[in-house]
This record gives sequence, structure tokens and C-alpha cells, in this order.
Amino acid sequence: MHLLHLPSTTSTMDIAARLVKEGSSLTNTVLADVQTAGRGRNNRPWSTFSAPHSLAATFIFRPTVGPQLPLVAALALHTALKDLLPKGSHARLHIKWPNDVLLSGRKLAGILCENIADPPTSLIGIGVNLTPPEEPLPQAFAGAFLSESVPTPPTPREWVRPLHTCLSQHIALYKAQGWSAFHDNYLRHCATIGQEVVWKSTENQQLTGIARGLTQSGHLELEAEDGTMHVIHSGDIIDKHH
Amino acid sequence: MPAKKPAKPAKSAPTAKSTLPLAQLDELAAWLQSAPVNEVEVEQKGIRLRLSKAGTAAAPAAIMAAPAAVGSAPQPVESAKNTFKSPMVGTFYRAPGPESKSFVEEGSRVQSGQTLCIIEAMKTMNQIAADRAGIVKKILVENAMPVEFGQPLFVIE
Repeated sequence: MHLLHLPSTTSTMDIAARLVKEGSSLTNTVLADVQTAGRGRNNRPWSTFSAPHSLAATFIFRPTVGPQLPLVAALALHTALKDLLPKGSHARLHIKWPNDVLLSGRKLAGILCENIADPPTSLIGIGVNLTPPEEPLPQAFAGAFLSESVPTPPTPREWVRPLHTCLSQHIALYKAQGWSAFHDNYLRHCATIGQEVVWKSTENQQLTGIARGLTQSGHLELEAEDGTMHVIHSGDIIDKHH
Repeated sequence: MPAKKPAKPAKSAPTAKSTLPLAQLDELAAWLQSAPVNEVEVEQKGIRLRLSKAGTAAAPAAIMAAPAAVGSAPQPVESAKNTFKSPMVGTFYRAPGPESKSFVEEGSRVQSGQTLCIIEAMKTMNQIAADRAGIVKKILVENAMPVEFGQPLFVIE
């Protein structure tokens, strides 16, 4: 791992993209203690607590990984988190399609992947809530903290290396064996399957139904209320009962 | 709306005479006869070709132009050569974010490797780069609309 550790930055995704554009071929991890303009899907603001309360990092993989990267990254993050939890708590960790990690049904960690065209590079942005901050939590916050299950979570600086190792191992296996090596394991840990969910598109179209499974490409199969089957490849999936 | 199953790109009927040299077709057919596969599909310069050994495919072998956008008029192969097609299924974005400037406009001159758009799939933003230099004559898809694999996105001349 070649780490760039910044005390404060706009977004680790922006710094990683700039490194790639400017020809850096060595740095593969950007970690920030504070993000002033963290971003999520479709450039939505994404807030992370300052270190050591959250981990905010972007991992750089050259060349681009493949179409199931977001799902493979979710399994890697799930595995790395599971390694921190006591065995009795493993069942509390789940994946929400495509790549959030939940602890006891609440969002513990999120992933944002970007594939850069030139030079071909994949960025994996990861945010994980580790311990609650001293200040009161924002009213809208409905997430979970790792400290609910791990008495003394590692600091972001301590944990970024094992997380990078876990991602690298999963990506190496994906490149060698493809998505079929992960499909069953993903389904086993995915809490979305079997749930009643609402799909919302960027254009505010929506559809309610039951998530029935995954296609061979990892897209979500949704059975709508009228019984028709749909394949969901993007947009937001919201658990109807949350 | 999400794609209804089965999510396959709309395929157009043959629209124009192929420009693929027949000699190449013969070579390919001869190779297929001895190859340990029943069917082969190749795509080159806007022409998609699928050959099957007799009795192994539901449909007869056919030469098809690249899939056209639903509702568009049949286009000659010459113009299909100039269309830039989606390499994946997902949601098409003309800009990196809702408040950002579009990557390209109609009339923009682009270089090979330059980002034309983003296609989002499974919360991953995929930059899609031009495979040739030229001028963007037409943008065929509205921002934030779903696109299928092989759907024409741009006309680049």
C-alpha cells in the first residue's frame, strides 16, 4: 500500500482522481482525517465524521477492474468489517444492494466507485462510521457505528492497511475467476433479497416491489406489485420498512 | 423505467447492404465448420455478424446493422459507422454532476480518449471515452435516461 494521508481535504475521490490524471502510478490509497466536501452518488453531499470517528478513504486500482466492482468491493468491505467483529456478532452485518454495509439493519459503511477512462483506473471510495463523535449527532442521522459491536475500533490509520489488503485480495480473485466466484457469497450476505423495496430513478420515477434475486451480472431483479419482473441497474433502492 | 425482463437491446432489421467483404465471410464460415463452437458473433465497424452451424441456432444466421435507437428511422450503414454506442447498460449522464458543465455539446470537437459522458450502473460512475477524434454532430440520448448495451449515444463525424 502506498498511502497519501491528508489532515484535511475536499474529498478523497477528488484527490485520487487528480493523482491519476496527473500521472501518479504509485499512490494507491488516499486517506483523509477531515473531508470538507465528501460526495456520494451523483455528486450528492456525503458527510463523514472527522477521524478517528470515521474512515474516509479512496483506493486506486489500475487498470479498471470490471463491471461487478461495486459488488466485489462490498463483499471485501463486509469481510474486512467481519474480521473486526466478535464471532457472535457476524450475523449483524449485511450488504444492502449494491454496496452499502449495514450493522443491525442500519448503514455502517458506504461505497462509491468511479471508473476513469484515461488512464483506465478504478476508484473505490469508502466511508465507515467507527465511533460516535463528541458533538450531538445530526437529527437525520440513522446510521450505525462500529463501536456498537467492537468495544475499541481501530483508528482509520490503523485499519486502512488491512482494508486495502482485503480489497486487493478480492479484486485479484475477481480478475482471475470472474463474478461467478462471488455470486453465491454475495447473495448469502445481501439483506435486500426478499425485502419489499422502492426503486427510485434519478428522474423520480419509482416502482415498488419485492427484490427477488440477482441476474448473472449482479443487477437486481424486482417483482413489481403488478407481478411484472424488472431488472434494476441503477437508481436508489429504499427498504420500504425503514 | 428499469428494463423489463428480458433486458435485451432492440435489434433492428437489416437496413442496408453489408460492406463486409464476402471473402472474409467465407473464411469465417469455413473456420466455424471446424471450430469447437456452434455459434460465433463478431462486431466490427458498425456491422454485427452472427454465424451459427446449421441446426444449432433458433434463428437463421443473419447479418444485422448495429441496434438502432427505438423509434428512429432506419439509417444507412455509412451513418451507423459514425454512431458511438453505449458499451454498457445503465443511466446516461452528460455531466459529472447535476450542477456541472456537460462533457460535450453538439458541435464539440473531441479527441480519442476524451470523456463523452458517464454511465452509472450499480452506483458506479463509469466515464465513457471517445474511441475516435471528430465532431459531435448529434447527442441522441437525454440526460439521466436509461440506456441499453449497444444503444447509439452520439453521432461523431
